[in-house]
Formats: sequence, structure tokens, C-alpha cells
Amino acid sequence: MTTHDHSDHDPDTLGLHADDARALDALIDAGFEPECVEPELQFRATRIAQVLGALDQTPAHLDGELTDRVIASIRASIRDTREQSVQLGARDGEALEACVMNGFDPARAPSALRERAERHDAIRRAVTTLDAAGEQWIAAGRRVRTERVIDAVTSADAATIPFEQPRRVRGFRIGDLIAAAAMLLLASAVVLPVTNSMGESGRRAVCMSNLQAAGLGLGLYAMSNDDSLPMATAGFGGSWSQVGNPVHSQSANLFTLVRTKHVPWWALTCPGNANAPKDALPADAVDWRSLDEVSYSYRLMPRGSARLDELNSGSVVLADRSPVLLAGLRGRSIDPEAASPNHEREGQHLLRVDDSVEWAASPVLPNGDNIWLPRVVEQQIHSVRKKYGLVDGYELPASTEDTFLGP
Amino acid sequence: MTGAERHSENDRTHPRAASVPSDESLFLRFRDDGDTEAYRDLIDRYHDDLLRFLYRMLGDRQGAEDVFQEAFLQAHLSAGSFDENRRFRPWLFTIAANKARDLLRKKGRRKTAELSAPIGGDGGRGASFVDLMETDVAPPDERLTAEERDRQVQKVLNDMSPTLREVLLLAYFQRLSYAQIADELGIPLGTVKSRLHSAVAVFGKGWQALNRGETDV
Repeated sequence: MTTHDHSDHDPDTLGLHADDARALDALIDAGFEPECVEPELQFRATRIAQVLGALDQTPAHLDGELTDRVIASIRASIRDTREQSVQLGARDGEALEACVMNGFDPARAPSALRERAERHDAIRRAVTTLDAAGEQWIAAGRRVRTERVIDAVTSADAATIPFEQPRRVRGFRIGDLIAAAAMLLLASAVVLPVTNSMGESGRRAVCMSNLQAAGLGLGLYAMSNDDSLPMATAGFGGSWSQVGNPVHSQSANLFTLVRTKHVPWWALTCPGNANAPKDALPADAVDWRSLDEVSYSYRLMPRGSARLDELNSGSVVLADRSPVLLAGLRGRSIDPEAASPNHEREGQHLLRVDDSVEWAASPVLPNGDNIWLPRVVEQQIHSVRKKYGLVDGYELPASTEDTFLGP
Repeated sequence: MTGAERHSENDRTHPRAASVPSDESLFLRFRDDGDTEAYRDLIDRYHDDLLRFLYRMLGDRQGAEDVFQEAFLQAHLSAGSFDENRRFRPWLFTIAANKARDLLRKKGRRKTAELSAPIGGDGGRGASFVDLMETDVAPPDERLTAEERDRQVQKVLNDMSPTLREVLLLAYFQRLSYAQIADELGIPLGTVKSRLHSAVAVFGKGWQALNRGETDV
């Protein structure tokens, strides 16, 4: 494969070779008709169209995100194919075995393999050491880096409640302590909003820390499982809403993180959920015991997909529990844009694939995607609103039997 | 068992001399007793190795600096999930590798791939076998200065898939057995083995091609 310097390459084209990127742009402009692309780029455009066609039967409907994904798939496929075609020779393979078994000490390899073991060790040393400038860079900033970490740790302690400490004893924010002191001193009705604020402030801090821990656990789990998202036994395609029945429970999928010790159980309990367990679950637990106990809603994946690397870095993977599911699964009417009950229905924390945690007042993302609903339901709601013009002030009751009150 | 007894127990079971506290003991002192000096010692202990590892993972110094800090901060934030019966080093490196991978995703950094090139390293003709005796990496030979060699090592690593690069670097920096790597990563031993073989082969092939001045890597 030819390699090129792409330092001046447009990052929006996801690393495609410059000529291929131009050909792709031309192909899109030409409505995916390679014959309509200028002759200079026609060969590349034809090839791209062939690959796109092989991956998706309806390339004409590709949107930006899907195009990115297809291109990423093509690139990964090419690289994987290339890497899979490269193998160590038999003797080198044996020498590698000897190296690994002997802590990469070539002197301990069998004499017949020693020379190749030394070559393995030479590669290892070349990879694990840097040149003089690199070593100088490392040495020069040692003290500053160490102090920076200590500062960050200290700041984090001041802002959040440490996981291992009793969560209601140590690590309160200063604002919480001031509010608590005010409550004791004044003991008046005026304090009530302050105490409410104090409690919610602390709950949000703990919740945010929980999601950060969950993010780490998800990443570690994925790393250890070929980039797979945690799955228990619930297969996508059947019911996923039967909490406590791991065969049909999405919460059991997330609970896998607890079961495999990637996340402590309490990190998946939001203090804003009054029904979340207060004590450790049995060691053999595989799911929460009821819908009420579930504190966080975990991303459902389409059939056949269960890998973290299939998601964009900004994709939401976990959030405070969904009010829509809580109501909908009990047959109650739903407000599609309601906020999570975990935080007084003021908003919800979102954990994204890139490990960032943020507070969002609305469940509707900037791209219009409602995190509580699949697209098909969002579209139905949209079409109903469009068709019937709900709450536009012109509706009339169907008959005298139809009760309908105005403002 | 009290915290002090647990730390002491940990020291006894660690291969280090009794006078030198183990990594695990330092971390538990920090976690359980709030001993910041212990964490400072731990950071200092891992400073060089972790930065080298992160630089090789990411290929840029600023990214390595950022992830270095994030990794230790995350280790602190996740202290509750640290299993006292496991080793600190692989846990820290796994956190760091995970953070590094996130940064790569965030930056949208992707390896370039020319679609018009033949698919498959040998144009689809089947597997190619690497002979490492043709891979001249050490000692620095006359053709390559240390700087050139370093740059080329990084280039070959950057060209590898993240999965193979990770397993190669984790194995090289930690020098663990297959069983230990499998245990730490929680993946089957056979998978670790095949990935590491592939990673070494791909690195070797990339290195050979670069040093031969080939354009096809």
C-alpha cells in the first residue's frame, strides 16, 4: 500500500487519500453516477462506487454520518485484510514464544532460537526507548507533571465525593457544608430551598462521578472484549424491558459491568433515585430486581451491532434513567421531552463514548435525536404533530361528546 | 485486617525488597489513608515508562502529557474498583491505553488508506511471511541515526491498527506472559497469542519496507 504524507490533509475527509477524497466528493456531486464524474477522477470514483455499493445497497441515500461510517469501514477492512495477510515465519514465531515465556530475556531462549530471540528483543527495545530528544523531553518535565497530577487529584477531591469513602460523610462540596450549617443555625422555612439545592447539588456531583466510573468500566470492558459493549444474555430483537429476567433485560446487559467487576455496584446507583438499592446486591446477582431500582438507561443497539467502535465518539451511551420508559412500560402516557426523574426533572447527565459526562437540560440532542426514543417513534410523533398541528389553537372538538377545554 | 496490616502484607508478598514499598502498597496508602506522598512516589515511579508508552501509542508529546495526567486522575477516581489482589502496573497501563484510545477517537485521527491501492498486503495473493532476520533494528546501524530510527519506529506503529498496536505495546512495556496478559485484558489466551504474533509480524514488515525505501508498506 502506498503511503503518503497527509499533514495538510482535510481532517473532515476522515483520512482518505487526497485523490480519493476528491473522487468521493465528485461522486456525491454526480449523484453516485461514476460516468458523470470528470474523466481524471473517473477511475477512482468508479472504484469508490463499487466499494460503497458492496457495503450498502442504497448509496444514494447516504447521509453524512453514514458516509463517514462506510468510509471508516472500508478503511478498517483494507487495513485488517492487509494485517491479516502478514504472518511471522515459523522460527520467528517459536522465538517469540520463547521471549514471552522468558520475560523477553533472549539469554534464556533455547540456543537454536537465541539469534532470533535477540532480534525480537532488539525490536522491543527499539519500541520501548525513545531517542535523546524524547528522553530529554521526558526528564525535563518530571516534577511539573507529578505536581500537575497531584493538583488535579486534589481538585477532584474538592469537587466530588470519592468513591470509596462513605458517600454521605466525606467529600461534600464546600457549598453543601455551608448549606447544612445554615440549616442547623437558622432552622426556618427560608432554608428549605437552600437545603433542597444542597441535596441536589451533592446528588449531581455523585451522579457525575458514577458516570465517569461507568465510562471507565465500559472502556475497560470493551478493551478486554474485542471492543464489545457489555451484553448479558439479552439478545436484541426480543423484549429487553423485563428487569430481573436477564434473558430479556437491557439493564442486565449494563449490569454485566458489575458482574465482571469492571464497575462497583454502587457506581450504577444514582442518589437521585430513591428506589436504588442502598446495600450491596447478592454476589451472584445478574440484574437489578425491579425497574424502579434501575438508575441509568443504557444505549440499545440495532440488531447485529454490539461494538463500541461502531459508535461515534460523541454518541451517548449512558444517561440518567429514562422517564419515557418508566411511564411507557407501565402503560402511562409519556412526555417525549421530559427530563429524568433522577434530578428533579431538571435535566440529565449524559455519558458519551469519549468518556465525557455532561449535564443536558433537554433529552433532545443538537442533531434532533431524542435519547429516550428510537427514530421510528420520533418520526411518528413528528408526523402526528405535523399532520394534526397539535396545540396550534385551531382545533375543535369532534362532537358534543368530545370534551376539549381551552385556556 | 487493618489498612496498615494489609499494606504490610502486600509488601511481604511483593518481589521487591521489604524496605521498598510495592506499587500496590503505595496505592492503598494513598487510597485508604489519603497519603498524597505515596501517590507522588507512585507517579514518579511510573513517570518515564508510562510517558514512553503513551508517546508510542499516540505519536505526539502533548497527547501523551494529557493522557498521562488523565490516567493517574482516573486511577484515583476509580480507586474503589481496584482489586487489592491484583497488580497495579497492568491496571494503570490498561487505564492509560483506554484513555489514549479515547483521545485518538476524539481527535478523529485515522490512518490514511488509498482506495485505489490493491486490497490486501499482497494484492490478495495470500499470506506473506516475515523473516525478522531481515529486520535490521538494533544496534543502530550506520544508515540510521537514533533520531531517524525513533521517527521510523513511530511511523510503523502509527500505521498499525489500534488493536495490534495496543497489544504490542502492552506486551513490550510490561513483559508479561501470555497468561498474564490474557488475565489482565480479560481475553482468551489464544487471542492474545495470535494478536501478538500478528502485531510483531506487521511491525516487522512495516519496518523492513521502510528501511528498504519501499513505498508499499
